[in-house]
Amino acid sequence: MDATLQTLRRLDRWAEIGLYYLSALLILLITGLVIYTVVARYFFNAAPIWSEEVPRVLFYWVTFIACAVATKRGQNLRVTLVLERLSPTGRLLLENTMHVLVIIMALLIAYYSWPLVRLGMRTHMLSTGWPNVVGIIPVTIGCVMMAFYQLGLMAKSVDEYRKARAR
Amino acid sequence: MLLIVLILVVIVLSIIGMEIAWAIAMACLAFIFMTQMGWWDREIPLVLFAQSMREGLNSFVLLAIPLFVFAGELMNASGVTHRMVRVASVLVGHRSGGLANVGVTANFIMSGVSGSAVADAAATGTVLVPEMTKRGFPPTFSSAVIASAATVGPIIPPSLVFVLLGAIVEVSVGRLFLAGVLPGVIMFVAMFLTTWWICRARGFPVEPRATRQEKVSAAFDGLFALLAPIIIVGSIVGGVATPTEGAAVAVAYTLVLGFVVYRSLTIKAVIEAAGATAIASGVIMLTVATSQIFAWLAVQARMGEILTEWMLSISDNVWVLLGLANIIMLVLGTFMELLPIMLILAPILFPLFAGMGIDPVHLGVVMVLNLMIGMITPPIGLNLFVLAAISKQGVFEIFREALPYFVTLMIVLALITYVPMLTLTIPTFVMPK
Repeated sequence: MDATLQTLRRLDRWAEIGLYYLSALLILLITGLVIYTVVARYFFNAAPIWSEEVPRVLFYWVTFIACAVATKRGQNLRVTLVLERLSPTGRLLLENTMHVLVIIMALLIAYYSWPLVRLGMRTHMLSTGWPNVVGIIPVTIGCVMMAFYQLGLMAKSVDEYRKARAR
Repeated sequence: MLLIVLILVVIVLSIIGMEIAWAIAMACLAFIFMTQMGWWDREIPLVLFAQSMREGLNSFVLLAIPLFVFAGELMNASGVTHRMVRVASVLVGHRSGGLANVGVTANFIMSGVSGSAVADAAATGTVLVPEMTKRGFPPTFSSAVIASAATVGPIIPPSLVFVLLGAIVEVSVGRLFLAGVLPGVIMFVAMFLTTWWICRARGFPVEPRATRQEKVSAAFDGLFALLAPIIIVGSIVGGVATPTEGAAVAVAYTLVLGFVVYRSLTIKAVIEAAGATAIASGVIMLTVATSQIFAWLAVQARMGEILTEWMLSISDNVWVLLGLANIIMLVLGTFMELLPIMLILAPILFPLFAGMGIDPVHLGVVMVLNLMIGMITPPIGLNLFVLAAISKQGVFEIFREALPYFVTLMIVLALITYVPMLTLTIPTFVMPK
């Protein structure tokens, strides 16, 4: 049981690192493509027709993947002023209520994005000819990952509660 | 009724600690559910929410935000913050105000590089707060100085907030950048004088005067970083690049600076900076996406008309209305984060004031300055939180020390609001419509 748990934890950690570096790579790719566009336009007078479309698609992906990583690391924008003043039990209850609400919201968004995904499979982008789904599915995947990582945050707050009670 | 629910849910959830993007999403979903339960004259489908999550990001201009964040991260990784602090230190450290005014000056210089108040507060705070504490400045005061000084970041170009505002209200980002220059200088001078006065009255220490050689060395060291805003703004204003391309030029310039000039960048540092950028911009963009849905729902709930009617019932004098808009933004700024406020209020206020002859560029600077003041007012003042985390002091204790700066910034706000020439002179000359 312990070994399985250890393996799962390791997998989870690798997945997080993988997503982090994937989002870093996407940022580098976006930067490279925009710089290439500027150079191509002003030095060779030949801007690629995909100059806006491709960076934009990568932008959707990086936004939702990075949000998932931020969720996992607890780096989302939030105010903890009230939480810090609560008792361990109060904090646990409030934190976990909020995590549950976020999980429900994220899964709702993922569920309701599915009709758009199906529609996106049948339509195509103008300049690249890629199916529109490549720009829609990041929302679905990102929300599912965020919901999953919120579960991790719930486990973390239970852990913190136990430690606070033990002190 | 639904409008009140929408606003209250965001404020309450944000204050009790829900992630801000999700607090906004929760309000929107609550609104949509209520429309589906027949509490409104028509039903809003949930699929629209999912669609808006993506559509909220569907603008090429918004791509400038991660790129500017990346340029700022690379500057930090190249050791630019330390260089800027050194430049500021040799310039003003020996005068009354000492390291506190070094903080004000360093933030002013940094603002031409990063474009984000929170990033500037974190970068200069990490370097200066421990140093100021060692010299005998109370940590609450050191934090207050840096938190307040960093508010100049988004006013001086390049500015992430101006890029976003330009995208929402379709105003030239180049003109907004230029309009921020003079107000930014006024903010800097005002905060410098406030610090000078406080430090003199409280007898805070000053630094030893730098030698001529130290001054030359610091200036030479910081010169290339100081050229960054000129290149970025120049490329956008000169029509060579769009804001997004200008941001990419900023990244390219920073890479050259880090690898060739300072030789302090490594491939690993670039990858780490890209990762940090992805997370920072991802968090910003999620807030932007949910705020756009919120703004759309607010418009559907006739928030624009209700607000306009209410404002016009008080006065039809444009200057009174501008003052009223300031009060609304300041009050909201104490309870909400700047992105949702901007995304909600901009589509309402800009058409109203444009109809009254107020230049959108002028209103844009006024709006951003209001929101910056919100960053040093509790309970939700991001700069205060950043500095509280660095100095391990309480948010309200820091705010108490920041009160003189709050008053100073309010005076600057009044000046910028009622003397449009201060914002419009430079864009009118350099980039006429």
